[in-house]
Amino acid sequence: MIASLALCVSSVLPAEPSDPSVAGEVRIARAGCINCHAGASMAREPAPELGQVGRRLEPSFLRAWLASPERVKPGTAMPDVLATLPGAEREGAIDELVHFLVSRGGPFDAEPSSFDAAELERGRQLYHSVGCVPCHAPQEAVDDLAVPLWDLALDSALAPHVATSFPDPARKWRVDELAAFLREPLALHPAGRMPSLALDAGEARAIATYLSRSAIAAIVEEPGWRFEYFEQSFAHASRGFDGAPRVRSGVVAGLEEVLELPGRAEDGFAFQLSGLVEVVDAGLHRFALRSDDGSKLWIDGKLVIDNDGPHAPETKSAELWLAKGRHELCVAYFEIAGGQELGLKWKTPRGEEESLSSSRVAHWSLSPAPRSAAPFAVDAAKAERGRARFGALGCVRCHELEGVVDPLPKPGDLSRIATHADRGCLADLPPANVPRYAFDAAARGEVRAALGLCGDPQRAHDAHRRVAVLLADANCYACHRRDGVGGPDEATQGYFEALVDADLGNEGRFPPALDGVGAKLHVAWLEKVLAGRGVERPYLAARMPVFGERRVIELPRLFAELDAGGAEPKSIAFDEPLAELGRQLAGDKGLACIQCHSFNGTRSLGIPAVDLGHVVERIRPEWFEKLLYDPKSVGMNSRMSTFWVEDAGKLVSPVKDVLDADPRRQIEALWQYVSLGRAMPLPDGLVVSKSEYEVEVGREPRMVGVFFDGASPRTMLVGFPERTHIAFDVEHSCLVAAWRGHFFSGEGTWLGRAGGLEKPQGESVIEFERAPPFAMLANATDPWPTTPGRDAGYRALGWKRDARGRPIFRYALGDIEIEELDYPLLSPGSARLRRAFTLRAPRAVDGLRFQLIAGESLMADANGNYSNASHRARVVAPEVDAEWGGSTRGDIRVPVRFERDGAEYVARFEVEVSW
Amino acid sequence: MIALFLTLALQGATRDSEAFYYRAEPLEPPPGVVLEVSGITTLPDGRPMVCTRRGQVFIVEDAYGAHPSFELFVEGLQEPMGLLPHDGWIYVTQRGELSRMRDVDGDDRMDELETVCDAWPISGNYHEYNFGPVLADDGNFWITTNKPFGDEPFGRAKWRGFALGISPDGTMKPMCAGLRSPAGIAKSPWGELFYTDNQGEWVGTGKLSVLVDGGFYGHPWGIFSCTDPRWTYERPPEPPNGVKCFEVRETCPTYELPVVWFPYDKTGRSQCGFVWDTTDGKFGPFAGQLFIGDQYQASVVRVALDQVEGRWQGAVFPFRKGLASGVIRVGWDARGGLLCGETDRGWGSLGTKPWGLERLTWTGETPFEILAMRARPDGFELEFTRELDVELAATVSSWRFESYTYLHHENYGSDEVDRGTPSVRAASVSDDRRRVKLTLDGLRAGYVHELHADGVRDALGAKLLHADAYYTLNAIPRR
Repeated sequence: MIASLALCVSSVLPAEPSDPSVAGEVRIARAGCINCHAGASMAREPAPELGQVGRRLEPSFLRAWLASPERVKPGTAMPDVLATLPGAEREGAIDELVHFLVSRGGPFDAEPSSFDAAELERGRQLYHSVGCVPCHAPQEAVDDLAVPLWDLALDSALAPHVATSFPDPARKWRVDELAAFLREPLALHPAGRMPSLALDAGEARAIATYLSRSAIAAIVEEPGWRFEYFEQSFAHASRGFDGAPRVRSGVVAGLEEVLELPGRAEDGFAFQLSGLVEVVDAGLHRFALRSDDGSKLWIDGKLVIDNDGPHAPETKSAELWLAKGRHELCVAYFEIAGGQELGLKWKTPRGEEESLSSSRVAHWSLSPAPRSAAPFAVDAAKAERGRARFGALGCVRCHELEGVVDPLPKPGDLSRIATHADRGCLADLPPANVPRYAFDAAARGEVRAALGLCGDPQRAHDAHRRVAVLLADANCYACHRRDGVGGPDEATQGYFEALVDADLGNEGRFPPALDGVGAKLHVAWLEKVLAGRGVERPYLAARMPVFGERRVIELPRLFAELDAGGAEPKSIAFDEPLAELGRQLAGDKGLACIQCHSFNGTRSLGIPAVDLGHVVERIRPEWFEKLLYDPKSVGMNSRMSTFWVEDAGKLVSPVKDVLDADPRRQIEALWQYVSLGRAMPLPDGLVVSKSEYEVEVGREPRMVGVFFDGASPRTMLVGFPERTHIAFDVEHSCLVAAWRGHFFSGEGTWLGRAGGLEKPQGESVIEFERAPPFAMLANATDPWPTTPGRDAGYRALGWKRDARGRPIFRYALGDIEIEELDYPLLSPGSARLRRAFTLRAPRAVDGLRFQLIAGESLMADANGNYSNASHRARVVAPEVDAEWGGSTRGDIRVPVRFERDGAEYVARFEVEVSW
Repeated sequence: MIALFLTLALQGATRDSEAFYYRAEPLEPPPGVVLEVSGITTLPDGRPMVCTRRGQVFIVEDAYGAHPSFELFVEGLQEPMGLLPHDGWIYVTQRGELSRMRDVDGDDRMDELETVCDAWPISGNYHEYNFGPVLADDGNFWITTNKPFGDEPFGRAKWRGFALGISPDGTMKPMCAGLRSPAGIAKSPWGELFYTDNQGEWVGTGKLSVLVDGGFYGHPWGIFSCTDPRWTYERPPEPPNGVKCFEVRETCPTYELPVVWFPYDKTGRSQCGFVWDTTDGKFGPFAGQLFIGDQYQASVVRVALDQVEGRWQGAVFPFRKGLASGVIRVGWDARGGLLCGETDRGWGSLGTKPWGLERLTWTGETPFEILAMRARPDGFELEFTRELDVELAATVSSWRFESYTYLHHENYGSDEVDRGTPSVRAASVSDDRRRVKLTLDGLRAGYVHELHADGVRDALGAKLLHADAYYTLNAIPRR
């Protein structure tokens, strides 16, 4: 059933570049040559952290490992430093080193790990999909993975181990220690070659369980549910409860029985239960999960019922089509305080309705192999001698360790040994007292070739070569292709999956090629991606790994140098009318980008191609132009459409009524549009309703009346197409907040009897002074009133809609009637809000002032901008001298000048707020 | 019961089903619109206009055709609960103000909204709804204000649980105190204002009352506001706790008894908006009577008023169940159809949908119903929509009565207390065979008299569509 897989694990690279010096340089880095042979421009290459190694690793593993690293892990970078010691001394040295290492954080907890069948299966699938395989080789064949473990015969469920690039973890780690390492590999391997795949605690535990399966001695199928008990307070149910320690495990017939178990806590506990259920008739099955507090149900690894959060007894149901055969159930349940209840029922297609208990549910009981050795006792004297050896043998050179001195003289630095690179570590038969690396003749040749470059600095620092070294060093080539090297190979291709059926072909499965990436992506974006903060292809099952910074930090600049000649991206001035044409082109009446691309989270009508709201952050404008004009020219000839058609010998756009159907100008307009980034108004034709509570802003401003936190229960939210939004307190005639991005989702106001206090829901939130906008002041430096508007004599008069559907708020202060129109301006990179005021009075008004901005430490710049900690404000028109307020909390005021207009007096002015 | 009814409705209505006489049809909004209808009016040009709890106002185009469409007039109103066209404006209540709005340029989009009155601050409580407005004959706009339940994040506010009168210039005058959840207010054809209130503390069961200047309606929560000089009437004392409802007046002289009680579950649970049948027969045989929406039961009930000793009382009759969602608003369209505005949010509903707009239309078939019930010094006179089987109607065992009343207390709702069973001593049928005079032993003023006329048949042997009636006998006529 399980295919056996052969893998060559001794080569450094999955695909060898033609230049042996590249491989040699990677070998030098991995072997940590620099740690002994100091080189001027190179940093140390730290080896794995050993400060707590005694707690983590099996003493028997340490012993075997020290005896022959190469035998335990073929191709390892760890040299054998004991190779030339005579037999008896060698044994003694190993023993002393083991005692020393175990004394670092030990002793090892010899209690066998507990195993859960659901985790085993989950780990099996994760290991083969999230990105372990490209570097470490698969452990099972793709076809076998399609069959869940429980559909295999019991005895074949534990696939035999196949050759991998690491020794059997069951002989080395406890499951929870391995899980901790998988979650944060950089903490233990500071060299940073083992990357983080952003596994959560449950995922890491599942993979660790799978990798440790050789420690499972027997599988028996038993009736009932298997439970794991956690004695900790949770407010949410999750698989594995965030990796919390399991207090105990056992078997119950039905879910409700866990609440009868003796010895559990009164409150503040959790259970995870797993079992297998046999479906006799394929068809719709209804599941009802009842609990107090929260719970969740997964079936075959998919979340089916979410009854989460603390609550009184509540039943949630779901209906699911299940095929005949066995299905895996997993329930996570937690109790914070108060009443307790848990139960799961199902209704089969035959109409039978019953609690899921041991008559229906079975589980696999996985018994761990007993650990043979008695608990390891550290012999203090041996450990002390081991410490001395750790220094004397040079271990400390790579594994820096507190309390160990390095007594050895430093050998010559790397640039000098190039001339005699057939001696020492690199000799065909290395002399005594030098570490023995597992270098064969070819490897030695590669290392020598690399050392030889020390005399050719120009070549050594060639960007092209440096990129090849870095990509090989971090093994980016296992997933990405560049310059004809690397990318998924025949052995690994089948393990690259799409998480959703993205209908993107291989682009939906494989990580992108890196050819020309420096001409495509901004340096800053590449840096974000490498730091794990830029995921643009959520449909790929394989995750972008995060390596130690030192491994990859040079890459973005090198890519830019090679692919874009080091040129800065083109700078293009923003042109609002052109951006609006771009918006029209993106919509259904234009080039219909909406068919494939999402826009700031609003999904496309079709496939989930990259979000155009992120383009400006990621993509260089020159590349965008090339892509749009001719996708083939940038190597994207699969899914990206070519829009233009030939007409009388020249290319024209099918959209005739925009910019004379000129492709170049339409591309320019599209760039203007996408350059707005988060501020992009949505194109026409998208289906925008996300939930029945979502208030999506389309072409027209949207308005909602709410209770607003910190302002008043009579506040109007206005969402603008420019994706900058405001809250205006109608009660007190006062603009209270502005924000960008997401406008409003109304659960807090409209769900049941919610009636809650709302807050800005987007990002880049700024709050304005909760004070009347205008005040009559006798002196320019009088303190600004702090009384809320209504109490300060303001009266709401209502509002008007202008021609663009924007509200003009109307209010009065005494006999002065005020109209206020607040509206955003499109602006790449920042948010701009104009505030236009018209004041009318039946008499001449003197001494009225408008508060432009307030804050603790106000600054002024040469352009008339005044800024506080959150935003800037300036007077747009008319020209007027602002005044500094006299109160301790500073503010800037603007005198309001009225002019006679027929029978009344009128003042008009406009200010701009930006942030 | 409801399930059975729905099944019948789906199969095609038969003569013993309500749907045979009154058909319900949905007016479907476009996808993406959540139409929790909270106000209904018909514009002078005949197009219905509705507002929703989410603050949108729509004009329904082609409302009488096969494919009605909804055009957004405006949005951003805060929980509007009623619409009233007047003088070129649409008056609308929001949580924090009475507003009026209009379309100036004729594009069916609102251009201006004016704050008419916002003299009541609100505390930020979910329940702070305002119902109405109704234009009273005194020229003022009347609204009723729901009292808050629970958190008041912006501090306690005055004038909750009141009927407020607002003059055209925006001056507010509190008119009636002691309301609880006054979800419906309407003006009768003769000019008196009525309102509905919902069961809860100090409200034994749902009720319909006349709004009287200075009247007190039994809930003490808002009384503290009456120290404000804008309250110009007698300040209501704390109501007695635990007396029969008709005894409240002994210590609260301004207490107004309801015109009718709506016995709980039998006639509904949550009475909301209501209208008088002014369709001159276009809606069937009930001209001049009231139709009242019920949110929980997703139904419409009927009330026939009866004036005794100069005061209103009357009877409640079941009318039409099985609407899609909780009916909180009713309003006439231009052709005599009853538009039902629906939402189940906050209180639940037997309806199958969360919200909707439906139209009830009379199919032209006259149901066999008790048309009216009038109090007599010694019993009741009943009027029917069809000729009766005289023999059965004259048999006293065809008629059965129960009576009970409610307690006025701080507990949530009241049981039906002090039950009695008045007996029918005689039944006589009128010459036109449409009326029956019942002589009863044991009539009691202040009690609901619940009638079951299960034995009655029409001249062709058909049963009553609804054999039950609930008459609130506040007073027994002397003559």
